Amino acid sequence: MDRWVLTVITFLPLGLLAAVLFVPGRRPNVIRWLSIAGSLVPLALSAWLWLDYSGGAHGLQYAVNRPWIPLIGVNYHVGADGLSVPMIFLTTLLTTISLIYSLNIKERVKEFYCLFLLLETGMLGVFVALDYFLFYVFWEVSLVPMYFLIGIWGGPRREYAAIKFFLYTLVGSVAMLLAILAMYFATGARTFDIIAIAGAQPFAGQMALQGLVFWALFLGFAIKVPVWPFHTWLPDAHVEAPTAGSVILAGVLLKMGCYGFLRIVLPTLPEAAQQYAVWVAVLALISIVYGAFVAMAQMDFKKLIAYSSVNHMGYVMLGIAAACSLGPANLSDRATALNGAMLQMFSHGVITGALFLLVGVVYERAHTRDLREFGGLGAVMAKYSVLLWMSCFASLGLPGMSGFVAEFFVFRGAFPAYLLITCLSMIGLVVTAAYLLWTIQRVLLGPVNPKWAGLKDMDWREIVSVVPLIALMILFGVYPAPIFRILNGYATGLASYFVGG
Amino acid sequence: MPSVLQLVFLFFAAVTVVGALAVVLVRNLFHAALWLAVTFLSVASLFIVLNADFVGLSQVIVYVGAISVLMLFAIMLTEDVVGARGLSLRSAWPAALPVAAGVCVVLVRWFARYAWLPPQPPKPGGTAGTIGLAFIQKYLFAFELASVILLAALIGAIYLAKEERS
Amino acid sequence: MTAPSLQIITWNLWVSAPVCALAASAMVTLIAGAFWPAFARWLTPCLALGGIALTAAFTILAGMLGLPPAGMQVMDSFTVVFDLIILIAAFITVLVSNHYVTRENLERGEYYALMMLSASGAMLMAASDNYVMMFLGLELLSIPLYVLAGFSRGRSESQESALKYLLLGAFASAFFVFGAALVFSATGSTNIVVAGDATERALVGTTPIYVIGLAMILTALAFKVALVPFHMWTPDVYQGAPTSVTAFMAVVAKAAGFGALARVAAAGPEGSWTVLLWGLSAATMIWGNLLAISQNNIKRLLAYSSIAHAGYLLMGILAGGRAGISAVLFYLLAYAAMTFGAFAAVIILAGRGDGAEDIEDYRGIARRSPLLGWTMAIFMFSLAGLPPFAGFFGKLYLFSAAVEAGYPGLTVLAVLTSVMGVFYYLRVTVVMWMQEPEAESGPAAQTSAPLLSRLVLSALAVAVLALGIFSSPVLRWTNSGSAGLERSAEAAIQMTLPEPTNAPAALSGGSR
Repeated sequence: MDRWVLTVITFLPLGLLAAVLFVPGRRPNVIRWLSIAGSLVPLALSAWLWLDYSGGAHGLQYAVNRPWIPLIGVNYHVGADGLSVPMIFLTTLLTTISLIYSLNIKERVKEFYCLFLLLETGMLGVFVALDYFLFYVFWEVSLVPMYFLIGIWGGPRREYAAIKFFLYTLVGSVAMLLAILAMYFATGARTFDIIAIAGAQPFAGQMALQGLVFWALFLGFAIKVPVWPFHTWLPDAHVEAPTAGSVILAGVLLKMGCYGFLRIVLPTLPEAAQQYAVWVAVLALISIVYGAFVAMAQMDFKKLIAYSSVNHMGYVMLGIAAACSLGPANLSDRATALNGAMLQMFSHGVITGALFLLVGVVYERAHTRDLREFGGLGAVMAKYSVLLWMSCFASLGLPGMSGFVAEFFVFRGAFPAYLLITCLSMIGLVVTAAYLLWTIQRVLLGPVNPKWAGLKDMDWREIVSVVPLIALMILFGVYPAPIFRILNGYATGLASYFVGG
Repeated sequence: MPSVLQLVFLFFAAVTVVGALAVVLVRNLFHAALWLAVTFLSVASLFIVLNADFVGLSQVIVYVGAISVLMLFAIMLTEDVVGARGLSLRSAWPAALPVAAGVCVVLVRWFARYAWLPPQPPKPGGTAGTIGLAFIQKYLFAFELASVILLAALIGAIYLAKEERS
Repeated sequence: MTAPSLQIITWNLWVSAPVCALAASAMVTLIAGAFWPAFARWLTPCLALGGIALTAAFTILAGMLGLPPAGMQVMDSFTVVFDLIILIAAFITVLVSNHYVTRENLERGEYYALMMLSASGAMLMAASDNYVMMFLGLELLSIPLYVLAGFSRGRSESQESALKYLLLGAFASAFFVFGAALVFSATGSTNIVVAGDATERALVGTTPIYVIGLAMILTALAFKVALVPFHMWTPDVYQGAPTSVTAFMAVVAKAAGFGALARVAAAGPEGSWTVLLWGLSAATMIWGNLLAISQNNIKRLLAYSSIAHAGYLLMGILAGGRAGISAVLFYLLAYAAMTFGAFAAVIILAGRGDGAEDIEDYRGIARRSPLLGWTMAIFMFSLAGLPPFAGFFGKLYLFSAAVEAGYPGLTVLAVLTSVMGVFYYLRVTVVMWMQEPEAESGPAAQTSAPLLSRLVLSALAVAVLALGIFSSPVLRWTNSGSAGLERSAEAAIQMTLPEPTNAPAALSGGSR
């Protein structure tokens, strides 16, 4: 019974989509509430997953492995471990929140909710798949609905942004497909199983070939993360996407890139990962510092948050690179860096989700995102002001919030590996604090701009969307044990796995 | 010293080549069609020299008797529409010439070097009987199939040519 | 001179039964259309569907009998799989055509009869193990198509399309005959496998005449399936022909060419032949995708996209073997579903007289007709090769067969060009989904369609999805087809080995 829980979580949104399709389009409220109520089921199941998951070094649980296309060795292999359980929870949580927040969508409601449910299945599938073929299918399935979400409900330059987002990601995934084929034929076992291929260690000792496959996979995942210089699609996509789309894009889709590194690259190509770790670290450093400075220069609130994602995802990559480069002696540092990177993935998903929602809130009222025009909103919108303060503090890494814990672990793990790079990336930390505080000042503080004096404070829909995220930021900031209980199993498992490889 | 038969063959071969060239070079469409008939006739003679009497006769009946005549009729009927000018293919010449010459050189070179099948002794009574039997025995299906193809062409021709009723 | 024997039929009629059944059904349809023109609207398509179903039954029956090759044809499992693909395609064509021919006033018995005759030619091409029979198949496929391309007699584009197709098609046929004659003169056999085997055994290295002959045959087939540089006719003919005929041409004529190529390619000599196919495939993928990007007319876009897909398919032929040919068969099936789907949508969207064929005319269609929007998006994403649609699975099977056969370079090229392809398929979805519909309803206002058309459209979309997700049984089926091809090639050689062929001199000859 337990074994099928992942399948149920993944495909329930798809079933819901089928149900929604049969609701006539002239009854938007039925569509909205049916989707929201239905999406609570995967959310509840993934919360149960979190509590039920028992951890352990090779803690793969709830695995199902059935033949799908036996002729070429494709299996329907799903399972969850310490890496995927938090991601599954994050996905279901952010989806439900986005659906609630999107109650204000008035146009083409049916299509919107259908695409969102399809998107949820795609994202969940990526996190549960343990077969390359399945992984790739879900990876692309998550791409298509987001393309439509940006392209239909997006801002004025939505067509350009949607195509750019699609093509960038597609180039990456195509490189990934070639790498997958190379690994498939290199093992000679005619299997697409991620764990089996990692166990077979394709290209062990063949550094040239392994390097080629490594960089192909790197391209696929780095575009998604995004690592500088592959980030240029991100600001366009974020600025044009509808609020809920931005939340999912930043909250979940970016994590799929990091997830790929941790699930596929590190265990399967450990030698290449170790050899090229320093390059990855340098790119991560550039992402951190560049992202922070560019964010500081933004006048568009949403673009600022978008660039802050480049900055924050840099920490994840730094943690991953550090874990690759450390020698066998530093097993615990390695695990620390990995723990930090994985926590940062979760924490960034929650924080950025909240920030994008808050940007959406103010944009829908003022119809502008220009930071120069705001001011004094703290006096007008009290609830909004509290929530924005808290989210920004979490984002800049204030102790007591989850962002701090994650970044601390990343730096703690990265110091022994790259002293200089880690020190330099501290600059990013400072600049992040600067631009977020400056943002607060420009939006909330100062004299009230008379134009905005009449703005209404947040309504229940917006509060219900943001508050759970804030709660999680504080919970894991004050007491991160529940999440480390889950993450640590995978981190130590991967760290020790590396020594053998 | 070539035999008489070889001389005859060379003569008809030369006529074929000259006729074919004339078809393309002559400006007057009507004359070109006549030259085409000459070419067909000399090809038929070549077949007969090579002991392929059935193919040679078919060539005369089908190509000279039917196709050439049809062409001449078509040209005469449409003369006042198109006029007697020849088709102008001048622009394609520079490109076509080297390609054609190249193909020709390659083919001639390999044909000359190749060991062909030894000529089979001619069957008494000509080839028509053998071919006819083959058509209704071994190759019956192919033979019938050819008639289906002709039927398809017929249906198509009638459809395209008949008057629109409404 | 011996007396002629009375034994006329020297082979098992079952081998030819499917082709005969389809041709006979075509005649019945034609006659019924001529005698009861009043009922032509529903009678002829029904008869055509019945005839196709009957032929399918004959094909399956004949396949189960396990017949030896006879009468220059083979009824192996490759033929069965291939014939059924052709028949499915013909069946869908009839269904897709119905709306179109009614709207354009083309409902004649001739239309369906010619289409069925053409389909029987396609079946014959893939079923023949002999160049002579293959040529007859090629002509039976082509001649009705020339007429069908010009079937809209009122439209000059249709006439132009027919003329272009006829003239270039005649050239291709001439190439085929000349090539077959050269192969025969080099090897003393018109049997595909025997001729190939003869060269291999007798003359190690190259047999120039055989290679030249084979190259000419390849040229003719390359013309039929529209490989670069023999693709020039495709966009003009596709654009001018009646849309339902274009769909038929894009699927059935292409499939027939690849069926014949699968038989011929196995007999190709190593070396130069492989290089030739490699180059053709690469050029086709690059050029087809490149030119498709700049197209504004949806039919021209689909024409160039069909060229690009021919390049991918040729990869499977090049890879050969069980995996390669199986991938070709699977891809043909997937390609048929998505191509018919796209053309079915085009038929609905074009107003009377093929009015709206520019992509720009489709602005905001998804809002006016969600069914058209969703299904067209599915077909476009499938053509682009995105999972979980059939197009992705087909491409993956082709690519992995090519990698396994030792062509990683070509595979990388194919992957890169398919990214290029995504761009123009995306454009269609952008226009349909993301742009605002015109305030004044233009020529593309036509989104209403009869129930049958909507059903066919939905069924094709479901098929594209199902062929992807449940591809395993289909793949097993196509695999049995490619296994049959291998088996009958072996059998053909076995049959000729004990007794010397009728031209031993050629085998021991060679370069002087």
